[in-house]
Amino acid sequence: MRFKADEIVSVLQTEISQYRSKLEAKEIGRVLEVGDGIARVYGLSGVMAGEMVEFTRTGVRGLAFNLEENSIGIIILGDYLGITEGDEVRSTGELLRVPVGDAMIGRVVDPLGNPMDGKGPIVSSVTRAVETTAPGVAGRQPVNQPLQTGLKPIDSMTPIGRGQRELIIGDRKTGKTAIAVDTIINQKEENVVCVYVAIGQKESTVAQVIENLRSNGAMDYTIVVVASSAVPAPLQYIAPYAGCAMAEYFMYEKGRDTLCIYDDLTKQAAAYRQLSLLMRRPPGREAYPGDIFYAHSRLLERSAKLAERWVIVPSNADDSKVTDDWSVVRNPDNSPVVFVGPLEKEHAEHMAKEKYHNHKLAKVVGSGGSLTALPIIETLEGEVSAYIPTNVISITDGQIYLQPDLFFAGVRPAIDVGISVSRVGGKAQIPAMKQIAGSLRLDLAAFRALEAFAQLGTELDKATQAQLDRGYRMVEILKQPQFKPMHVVDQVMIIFAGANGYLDKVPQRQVSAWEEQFLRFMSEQKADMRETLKKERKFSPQLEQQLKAAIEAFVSQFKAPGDGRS
Amino acid sequence: MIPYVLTASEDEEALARGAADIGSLQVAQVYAEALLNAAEKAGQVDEVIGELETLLEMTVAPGSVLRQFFASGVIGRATRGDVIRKVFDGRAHPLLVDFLMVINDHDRTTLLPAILFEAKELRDRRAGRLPVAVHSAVPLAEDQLERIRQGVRNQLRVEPVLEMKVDPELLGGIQLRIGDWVFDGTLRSRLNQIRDQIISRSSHEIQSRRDRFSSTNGN
Repeated sequence: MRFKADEIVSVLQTEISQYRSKLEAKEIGRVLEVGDGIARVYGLSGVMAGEMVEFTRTGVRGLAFNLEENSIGIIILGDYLGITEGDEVRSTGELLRVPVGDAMIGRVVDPLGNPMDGKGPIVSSVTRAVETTAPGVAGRQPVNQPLQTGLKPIDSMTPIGRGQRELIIGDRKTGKTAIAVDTIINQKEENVVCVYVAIGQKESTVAQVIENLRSNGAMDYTIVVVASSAVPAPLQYIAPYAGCAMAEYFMYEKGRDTLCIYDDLTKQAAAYRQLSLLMRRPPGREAYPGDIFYAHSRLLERSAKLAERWVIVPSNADDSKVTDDWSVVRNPDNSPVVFVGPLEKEHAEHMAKEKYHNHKLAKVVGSGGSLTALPIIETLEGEVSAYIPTNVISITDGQIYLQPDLFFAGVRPAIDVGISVSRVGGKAQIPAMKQIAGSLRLDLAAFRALEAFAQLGTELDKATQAQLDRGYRMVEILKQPQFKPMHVVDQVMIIFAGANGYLDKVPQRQVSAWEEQFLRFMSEQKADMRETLKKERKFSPQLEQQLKAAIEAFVSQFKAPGDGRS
Repeated sequence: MIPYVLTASEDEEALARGAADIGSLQVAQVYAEALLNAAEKAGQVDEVIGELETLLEMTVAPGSVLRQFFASGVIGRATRGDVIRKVFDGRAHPLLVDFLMVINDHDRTTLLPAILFEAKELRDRRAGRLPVAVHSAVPLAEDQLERIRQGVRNQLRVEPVLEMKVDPELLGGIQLRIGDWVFDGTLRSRLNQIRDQIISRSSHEIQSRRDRFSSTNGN
């Protein structure tokens, strides 16, 4: 081994030369009682709430959670079994931080950022505080860019925008995680950094998710934070905040789009309830502490679409390197004038046009990142009016509701379109999708009502029967197998075909085969048209005619699968 | 350093583990304040506290029957009261006897150590004094102590009361404990620091350029 002995000497030397001048000052306390992931400490009278403390003997860290008259309640982040009564506790004067940065991508880590995948240490010099405040009003801008999940029912009817918080809610085993994983897989070509936070789940389930991500090539841009059900409650409690901090780095520092999935917040709430009860905080409804709403709201509030920063620069400037300082417009004190957000950008456009010829408007590199959050909540027997579900529904910008009935009827993803909503994502939808999916929700709702009526076995008139047939085909079209996210252009084309009645004559069982062959036909034989749609993102009357013609051309080519009939 | 409660068991470890829980600490504070107020009114704070301290030393001494007497639940309140009167009347300060009777009536005799701890702290706080624990490897000379006293006085504007403790394991230097703060200038902690620093420096070197440590022969 070629280790430099003189390095040791230099460390020793500086230490010895500073020996007289330095006095180590620390504040200490002693453990009064310890158990279940928490400790009560006597002393440490100057410690601040949320400050990190260290158990000197074992080196385990903790967080000051409760500050009381005579003692401090500490949540222990690590192995609490090694800590005994009387142990010394030292305050550190720091907040809890986790390593962040490019080195984290592709790794599986615990909530403190320690590697769990056996791929060696993570070398990252950048850290970020686990708890940070959310960006303010001025730092944000409205959601304006879609985050494509690659799932037809979501992208068409409950579209998600970058920076949005969309809740995925449903009973156990209804495919909540499947939606999240498919969304991650679909970000392969979208340049979105993904963070998957697993809280309170079985290790075997998490291992399966990681394997699915890996085999679909999604680990190249994903960080997985794992706090399984075996780890102490404090770690489960901080896991989503840690995952959020890892995503925030890319949003704030690199201006990138990020996606953070909290799977699931029900378990995090249970872990927090455990901690709070052990700390003897007063229990409230369902024994959750009074600040459980705040625990979730401050986490989800951290997702944002950051405002872009614009500066006026000479027209020959290199767009990929623009900083605030490049602005040619100056304040009286010579500080650069930066235009933040869409409103000021408009103002700047006018200004550049009128006053600054030979100049252009350029975006400051690293501004305008986003953090999209997909929290997951598990309900019991479809009970959405329980405490935690109602809380998180009210915090988020919409929810995707999964129904076990639909799931077992073979409608997968089992999204109940009637009560699933997206409050802001519509603005971010691509125009083509908006054009064709506008009435889809209402049509499907009408179909569901009609379907219930038709089950009574009454004789139906022709128009009603036609509407029913169309509905069955649309439901069939909106089905999608797992790990097969679809490009939004393909989604648009197949929904267009269904909504315009081209599948009405196709037997229900053959719809998926029709869809597959149609999409293959479009990408192989009408590739130029697909590209045009991809580029223009909306239907011109002309393009609409072309697509209709293409579908008609395909209909004659369609080969019904032999085993499709019985 | 931590206030504790009396346990019937005599073994040292049980004593160390008999740390007061938060509830009894609060109770002890109330009794301590009451005792101190009464003693102040009588103008005999130091005497009462001094006697209480002696009593406690006798109580926790190995083989002491007093420990059993105060900590055991077998002895009834009335019996214990009688004995307290018989043993301490005339020998101890009347205020202390009354105080023992009061805590006996309230079944709080096990809290004696915690009460003494809180009373001493409260007394020092009221008098503007600050207990400073000085740990060193060798006994310090008076002029050295005076320098420490002077230093604390200048920094914190309070009158320090030094409590000396010699601990050869510190190897050299001194350690001051003022309240919850520890000012550590001992050789032992410095050596520990150097050790930690070398370990973290080496692991940083290893992690940042792992290729330097792998064999180039391709095993």
